[in-house]
Amino acid sequence: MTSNKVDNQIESSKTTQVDARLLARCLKNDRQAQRQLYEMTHQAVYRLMVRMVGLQEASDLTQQVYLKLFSKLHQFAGNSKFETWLYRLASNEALQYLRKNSRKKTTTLIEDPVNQQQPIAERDEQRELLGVALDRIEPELRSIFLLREVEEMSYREIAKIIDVPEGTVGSRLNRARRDLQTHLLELGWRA
Amino acid sequence: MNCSQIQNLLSDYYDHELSSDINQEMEAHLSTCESCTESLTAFENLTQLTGNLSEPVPPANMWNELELCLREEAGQTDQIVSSVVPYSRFGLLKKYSLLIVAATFLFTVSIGYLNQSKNEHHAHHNSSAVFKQYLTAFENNPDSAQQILLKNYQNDLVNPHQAIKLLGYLPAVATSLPAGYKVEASYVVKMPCCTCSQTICRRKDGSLIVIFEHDEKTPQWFEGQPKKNMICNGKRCCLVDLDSQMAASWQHGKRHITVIGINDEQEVDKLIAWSDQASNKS
Repeated sequence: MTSNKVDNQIESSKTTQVDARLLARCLKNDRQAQRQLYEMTHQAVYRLMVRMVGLQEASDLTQQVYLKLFSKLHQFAGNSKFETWLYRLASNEALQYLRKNSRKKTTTLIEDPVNQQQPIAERDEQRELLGVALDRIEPELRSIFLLREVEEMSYREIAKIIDVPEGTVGSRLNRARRDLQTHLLELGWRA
Repeated sequence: MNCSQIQNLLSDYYDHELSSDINQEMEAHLSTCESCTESLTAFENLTQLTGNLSEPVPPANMWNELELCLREEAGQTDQIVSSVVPYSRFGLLKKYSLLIVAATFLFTVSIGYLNQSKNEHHAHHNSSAVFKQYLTAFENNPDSAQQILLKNYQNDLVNPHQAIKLLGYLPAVATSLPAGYKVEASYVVKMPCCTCSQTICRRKDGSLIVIFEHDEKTPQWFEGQPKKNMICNGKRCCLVDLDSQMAASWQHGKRHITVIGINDEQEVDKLIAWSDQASNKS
């Protein structure tokens, strides 16, 4: 890819929060720029990973996302917001991991043992229930629910991230919300 | 619009994704339909619940580890260091944790220190490899798997009550035993992570489980294995799927207990109850 083409592609994403010049520097393997991009965006990627796969694997998968991001940045066409592209990478990474590691015997993910210092009794029981319920719904539905409710994405952005028609997002969110509610009620949730 | 149509569009309505004319139809229906309004309220409650989720804090060293990965991909990492670390798809943190140490040394101290780091890599890698070998053997022939550990690590066959001399504490298996299990043999094993108590127990049906008690919080025994975290019998527990059985690890006082060869989650509950009782007695 020529530098002009790169500049043109990035130019079209001027409206994104991430500065096009920063992306151009990242493409040249400028480590400071890469770090700046990471600092600007990693909290959101990590948050999504924690909710999708749990704390234990979240760091590894977040790192994996950034390795892919920097190696594939030249593929970012600038047709969508940079953040949308990043969420797509993150969402795909999480789903790919979950597909590979879906096993029959262990079912319920709560949180990582590294966070054990805080006694369960002190935790918000409701949040615990949501964690369990989220883990019980289909990963694809979990992803779409989190993108909407936690990351506050529009249907158009979600459609781009998970690569479905925009009209499909609402019906999947219906399923996600109803499945979650069903599991929460089974777990004894009282709204 | 009827209830079915409303329900199909409820998320779109809730998320303000509808055109104004359909939105008005929805509002007209919802103002008269208790059932659909309840569904909408359920969505609101879910949003409120999700809004209460705590914000996870990324590990502070994540960038440093990532940078080392980037350096390695760019071929900038020292050849010696990169050659001793195998690539693990989901083990980046583990893979590069010691590389960070090594890289720091490269920039700050002598090559001699690098050699020391290299040895640490080998110890870490060997520990994971030996334990993987042990787990594989345990699945196929639990009785012979023990020889793998004994060949690789310094060990002492002990009476659990006497293990305190070597461990500095009395292991849980010395204070009581899980109901339905009988101690077959007990060892103190000096593993790279720490010196562990290891007790082989036989069930009534003749099958074996192995109970480790160890200081290290997260020994790298199950590197690359799928893990899930659950609350079992009121305690946070990390479960590892083996091919036909499970391993489970949980906190036991200041130490940790890891059990290999568990059949199901009910057995985890039972063993945690035993561990709690042993903890109270000690």
